[in-house]
Amino acid sequence: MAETLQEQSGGAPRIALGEPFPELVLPGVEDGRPRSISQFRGQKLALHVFASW
Amino acid sequence: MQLQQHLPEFEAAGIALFAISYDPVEDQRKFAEEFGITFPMMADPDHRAIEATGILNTLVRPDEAVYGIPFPGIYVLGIDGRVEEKLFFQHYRTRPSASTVLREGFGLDFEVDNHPHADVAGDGIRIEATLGGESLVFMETAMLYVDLHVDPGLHVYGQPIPEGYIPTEVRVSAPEGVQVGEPEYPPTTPFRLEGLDDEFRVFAEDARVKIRIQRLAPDLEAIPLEVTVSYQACNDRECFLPQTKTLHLDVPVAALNRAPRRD
Repeated sequence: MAETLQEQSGGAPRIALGEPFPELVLPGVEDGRPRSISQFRGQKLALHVFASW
Repeated sequence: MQLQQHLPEFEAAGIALFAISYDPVEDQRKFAEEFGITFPMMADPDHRAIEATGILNTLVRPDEAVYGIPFPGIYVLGIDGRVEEKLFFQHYRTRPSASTVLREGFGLDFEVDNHPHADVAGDGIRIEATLGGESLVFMETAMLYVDLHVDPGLHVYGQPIPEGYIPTEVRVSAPEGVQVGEPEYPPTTPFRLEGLDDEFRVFAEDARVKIRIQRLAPDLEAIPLEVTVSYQACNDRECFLPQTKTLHLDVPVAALNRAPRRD
């Protein structure tokens, strides 16, 4: 299903299923300090990507 | 924010929630405080990381004010950090409901006690329709699940189908401002009748059809969904007459999460 939706999206989330999600280091909202995705390794993760408006 | 409300269900399943937003840190902090967000969020106002990972929304032109916003959606990462599932939705401002994420991303069942639901019985079949969410807020997407429970020993037909037979078809009508996706039918199984050359594709026992429902209009007083299922139930010798059954779901219209700021 996700693949079909992706095609409809016109652009491509380029990371394929089965590939590692790239390491990202970005400021955390709580305190502005850098956070990374790899700190969550070892558990399942739902990464929600959004804009608030 | 709906994901926050479902945090205990994610936690119970051993799933950590994490969010990346295009909003600056300050805006996100206010957002988190206003809606009591307790899971970690990261800010990517320059959308460099978003662009690098290919989730920049290329449907939006660079000269539009909202350029840089990502495809809203959910990446499901396994314990080794690999992408196991991607739940992206077509419209750049809709996001999947939490229940839909749990089911589509993690294969977890969700409590449907509070979900809009309807069922009806027909010849040889019972049909249920359940929304993957308790309501639809503005710019939210949920799956509508139409479950066909075919009586033992019977089948209904899928496609492709030889001429003269009735395929199972699910149609959903919704009010203006609510977009209905194409039905996604489950896999069929091959079926042959003795003495006939035609090969049939059939659904037997339980089959689930999924339809995406997206709310694109802010001002809706109600979202009545009408689900129509046409089918013909047969065994290997005879058939019931073709039937069309209609189910009605009233989807509550939850209040706006937050007023849009930059329209």
